[in-house]
Amino acid sequence: MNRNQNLQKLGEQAYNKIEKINGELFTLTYGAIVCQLIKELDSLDEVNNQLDKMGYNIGLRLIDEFLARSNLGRCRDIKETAEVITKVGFKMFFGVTANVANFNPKKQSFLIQLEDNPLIDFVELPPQYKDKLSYSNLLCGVIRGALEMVQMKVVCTIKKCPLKGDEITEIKVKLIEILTTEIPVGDE
Amino acid sequence: MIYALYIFDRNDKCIFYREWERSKSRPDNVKEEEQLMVGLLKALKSFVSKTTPTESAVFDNYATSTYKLHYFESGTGIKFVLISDPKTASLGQELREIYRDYYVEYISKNPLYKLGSPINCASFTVAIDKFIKGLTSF
Repeated sequence: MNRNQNLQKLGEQAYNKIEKINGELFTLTYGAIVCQLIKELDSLDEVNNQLDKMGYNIGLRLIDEFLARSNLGRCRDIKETAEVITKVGFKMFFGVTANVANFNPKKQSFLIQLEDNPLIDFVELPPQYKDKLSYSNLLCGVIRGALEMVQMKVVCTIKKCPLKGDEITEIKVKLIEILTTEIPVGDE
Repeated sequence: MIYALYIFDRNDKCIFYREWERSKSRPDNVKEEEQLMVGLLKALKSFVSKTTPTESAVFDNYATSTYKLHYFESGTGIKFVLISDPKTASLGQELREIYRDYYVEYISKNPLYKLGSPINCASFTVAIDKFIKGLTSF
């Protein structure tokens, strides 16, 4: 069995063990949050920012549960990170697996492709929101927050979204730097 | 016998301390004791990773004539330290359990807990007490 299949299996196992909530309730709650943000904030850019921030705060905490339950160690490279996020992370907390595409070793970036995105079920965007609103921006924040806690600073952006007429949801993740917190011995 | 549990956050701040059956009390200067421990753990970790004959190594525990120190660090840099008597077998598994079943459940998921602040959660303390006292090595 190769590594990817292994991860897939691990994702399944983690998914089976985790406590679940009703998917429709989750989707509708998320929709209600986005609606409320649109009502309260002045611009759609701010809504996008706020969603990213909320996701970031979720990610900061979610990573601990992820590590504790999956029992995975440190990833060797960003490619492995990408596989772990899509095969284990998404499965564990989101119930779906995603695919990694366009991995670029030079730029240290990759795309996460979600064929099935539970956040956007039952959603239809009014035309005035189609261009600017990144409806699933929360996901970007979650990935950013979670990776920051394991020393990786990344930027995440939604590139494609079925709500805007694309076929799939696509999130671009780009590594900015690996943070080092280790202080050399004798430096204190 | 298990004497004490320390939890340090990713910035090496002590966020939790609890002791059981510890006959000699902590030094007056608690901050200094915590800093000493953080320094020691850092030095040990770096020593271990430099002297490893193979690819990588993590530090699990060390023993002295009067106590044994068990160590586990999560991928996010949260450090769990248990002090027991020197005869106790490795408690690495138990530390992982504390992380998975107690830290994550009571602290990470607690909306009132601000990351990096001291743990002030009664139900966490009660649950940890119960867990430690239920161990065969207690």
